[in-house]
Amino acid sequence: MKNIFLILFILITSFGSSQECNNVLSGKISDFHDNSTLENATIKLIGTNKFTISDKQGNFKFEKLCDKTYKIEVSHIACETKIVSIDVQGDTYDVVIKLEHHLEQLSEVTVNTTVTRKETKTAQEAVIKASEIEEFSSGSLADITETIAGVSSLNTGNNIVKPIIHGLHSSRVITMQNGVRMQDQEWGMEHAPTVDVNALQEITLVKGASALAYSGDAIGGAIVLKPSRIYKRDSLFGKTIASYNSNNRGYTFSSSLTKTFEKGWYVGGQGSYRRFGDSQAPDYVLSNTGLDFKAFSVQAGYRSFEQSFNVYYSYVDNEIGILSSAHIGGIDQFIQSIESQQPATIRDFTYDIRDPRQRIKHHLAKVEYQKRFSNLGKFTLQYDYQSNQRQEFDRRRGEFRGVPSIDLLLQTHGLQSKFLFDSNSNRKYNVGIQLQYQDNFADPATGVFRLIPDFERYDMGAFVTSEWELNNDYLVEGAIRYDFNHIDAQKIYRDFRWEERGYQEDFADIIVDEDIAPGQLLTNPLYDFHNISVALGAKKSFGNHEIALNYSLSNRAPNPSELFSDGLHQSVARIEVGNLRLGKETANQLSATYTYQNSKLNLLIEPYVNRIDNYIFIAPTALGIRAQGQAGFFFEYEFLSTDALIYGVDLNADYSITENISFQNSTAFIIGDDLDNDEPLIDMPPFNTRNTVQYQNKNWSNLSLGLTSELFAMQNNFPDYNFLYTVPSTGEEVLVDVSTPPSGYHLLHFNSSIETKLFKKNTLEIGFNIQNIFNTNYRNYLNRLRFFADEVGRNFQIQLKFNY
Amino acid sequence: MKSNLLNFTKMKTIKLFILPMLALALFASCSDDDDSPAPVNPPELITDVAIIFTNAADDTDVVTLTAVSADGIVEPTLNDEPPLVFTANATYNVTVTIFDNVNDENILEEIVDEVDEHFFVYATTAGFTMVRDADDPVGTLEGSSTPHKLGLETTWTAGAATTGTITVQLIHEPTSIASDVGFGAASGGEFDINQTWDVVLQ
Repeated sequence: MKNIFLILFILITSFGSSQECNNVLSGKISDFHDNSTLENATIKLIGTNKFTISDKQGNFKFEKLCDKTYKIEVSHIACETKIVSIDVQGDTYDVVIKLEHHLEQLSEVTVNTTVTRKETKTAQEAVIKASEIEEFSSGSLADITETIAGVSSLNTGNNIVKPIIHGLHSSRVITMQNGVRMQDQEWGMEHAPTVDVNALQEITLVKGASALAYSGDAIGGAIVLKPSRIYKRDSLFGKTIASYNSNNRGYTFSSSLTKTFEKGWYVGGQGSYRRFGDSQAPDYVLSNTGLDFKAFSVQAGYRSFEQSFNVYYSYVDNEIGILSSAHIGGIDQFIQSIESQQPATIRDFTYDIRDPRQRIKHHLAKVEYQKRFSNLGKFTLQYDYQSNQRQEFDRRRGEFRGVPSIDLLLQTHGLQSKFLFDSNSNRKYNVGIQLQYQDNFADPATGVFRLIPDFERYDMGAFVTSEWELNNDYLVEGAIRYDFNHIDAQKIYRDFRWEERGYQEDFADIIVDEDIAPGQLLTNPLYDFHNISVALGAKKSFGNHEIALNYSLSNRAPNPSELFSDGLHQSVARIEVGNLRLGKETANQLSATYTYQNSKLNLLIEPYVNRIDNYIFIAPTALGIRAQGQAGFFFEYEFLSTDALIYGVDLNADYSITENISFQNSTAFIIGDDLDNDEPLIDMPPFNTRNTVQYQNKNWSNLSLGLTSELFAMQNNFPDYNFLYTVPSTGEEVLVDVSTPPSGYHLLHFNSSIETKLFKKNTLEIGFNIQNIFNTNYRNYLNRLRFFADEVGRNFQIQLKFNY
Repeated sequence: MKSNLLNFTKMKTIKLFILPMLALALFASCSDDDDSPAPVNPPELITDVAIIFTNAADDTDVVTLTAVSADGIVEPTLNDEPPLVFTANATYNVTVTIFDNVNDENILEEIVDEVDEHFFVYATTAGFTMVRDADDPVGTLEGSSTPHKLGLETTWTAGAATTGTITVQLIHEPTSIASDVGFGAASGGEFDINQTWDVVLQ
């Protein structure tokens, strides 16, 4: 039908060529989202010199137009430029042209914009931009987040690093990778996020549990990772980063390329390769601390301002060596290691990675569809799949040499649907549901009792978040979320453990097979958790000052490691025992953010207090030690719960001394108390402060020079788990000091970079950095391998960054 | 027309929103593979360790130090209550047996095969002296140029009457070894065996 009209129309217009051009075209320019009118939009008739500007009511008018199809270009300062075709036949009135006028979109249209997309408006948040992320192209995610006040790192050696937010880590901190909640067995202290930092465009870190659109159990916080954004225009762009570290003779290479088409289609890919040899402490080689990291991601899709479609796939294959001397055979060797103050194994430098080591392979696939509805909002539907295989290799003998001791395959399917009602920019609502199914398989071919059992897990979450802008200075937000978790595990207990923990009395009903193997029984623990989470916040501005308050209630179901683990962690000579009696953690957190901003100073003070009932932690068992077969005694720790209170303050200050020189400080102070046992919580970050002086001159090839000082005080608040132990071979009684934190330390780092233009549109940035300038010997309280070796010494780093 | 269109889009929105709800039903109905996990029967266990001391001058004077762990994982039982009795000032030929009685394997054979990465260290507070025998298996640690005697075949000389302990340690993949000093010394690696018995010399 349409075509017939078109033909008729063409016929009529061609016959009517002698006709006078005296038509009027008038209409209105309005916002796609809320139908508000847009003033000052430029409306241009393509192919003519006619243009006009919309008035206060968004109206425009052209006169003396011919009967023909006009192409009209409409542009507005905060909108995507739109080209529409309009048939003018006689006078044409009331044409409505809708433009995409949206803050959120703004950052996607304008390159180098300063608009930040915050996850919440009133909680404590920090955003790290691409340029800062790129400085850490050979580092880990936690190395980057550590630069935020109040965020520390939990290390297992120097390559396994995970973020600690306000003293909380592992299952209490979630990582969102491109809209997908990472399921990479984050429960373990020596399980680092399986993320390629070179694929990230932006990192937003929410301290505390307020980002309820992502989860209700992120008691510590959420780390939201975003890959490169797609700019809608016809182009081909990318970047390549290469770097070399002197300390571990490690090199990193990362490259990305994206092609976008005028119509809105795009396709892109990115890959990274990273190969490190043994790191070096000031006095010796840290043997077997190499890394072999490979990752790539691809994405394709379509994006217009009304709908978008995205397919994304990423793969990470990470092989990490674990310090040889940390792989020990019990308390006797642990004592020797503490006494000798240096690693038992020091070999020559090598790139080779041998056992003990970890090998992690993570696949993440996602399909997302978004549609915007005029005058209503944005709908999102997403399906994602993740597969995480974790293999941990110990030194083994005979035919089991090279066979992993732990081999877990965790597969997760996720489905979510959201609707953002944003047509009224003063009152926004985001409503959504999330479903997740998870299956864990522990391969029995390892020949080692499963540390984590086979389990299935079902999760369902539903949330409403809302944001009300009462006036220009006053904003409130509120969110509520319901979560249901169901855990169905198949756990084999050894008889002695079952009886010793008194499970026979309380859990006899979960036994499936009393004698699945000699001395072993099969159980089917089932858990259901119903959780309600709430977040409330308000923000008020007074001129240069701004105050935000945020309260959150959140709950976390115990993870499979806390419930079920049972086995030896050779890397810390520790047997870890789960606890079937654990309930969920409930956290009530209150935080405040004070911001002061003027042309020179940007000051942020963020106090917080977090009360966690049923806080799950790991502590020595009553005996503290257990003989492991013929190999002698090892530490034995179990998961317990207590009521905890964590409070502290983060401070951040940016000061521009002159146009070229700036000073930055970030400081964090935190206290964690175990209220039931009236003692400090373990693994709380010590007081730390970071000061940077930076010189930057845009006129001299964007020269940048900086000096950073980091001070970590000694942690004086720690629980005392030390005990007396009689060394069997000598009969001597020794105090085994597993608790006392190492002394405080101060480190100095240098960074520099310069930028040159290559060809017309390309830039090359050359960076030179020195970490630990004075080659300081130190040990870090938050490194689980601190008993065995010093931290990494001085490192010279060269980085080349090529943008095209 | 316009209101129809609006209704249509609203309908579509609601439908799209409901879609995941249907998927939930699908979710709950699928994947019910409640296969029992296979039990793990760990290999390469060490269940039974015996250190056999035979008096060189009197082969009826045999003292055997045993440590038995039923499944190779629980704490072993040692036969030193009451303490084991040695003849003061006697000379003993000593050898070791190591078994995995769960999987019925002679672990010692494996250790002798892998002599390059194993080493016995002994310790005592009961006044013995010890030498590694000429027929003791010899291996060389990776990266080392000095061969070491494993410590499987040794000769012990008892001193005057006393009480004390004897410790036996088998170390897997040590990083350095001193085999010709006293009872041997090593650093690095981890223990396959680390047991201590109470003994009496009389």
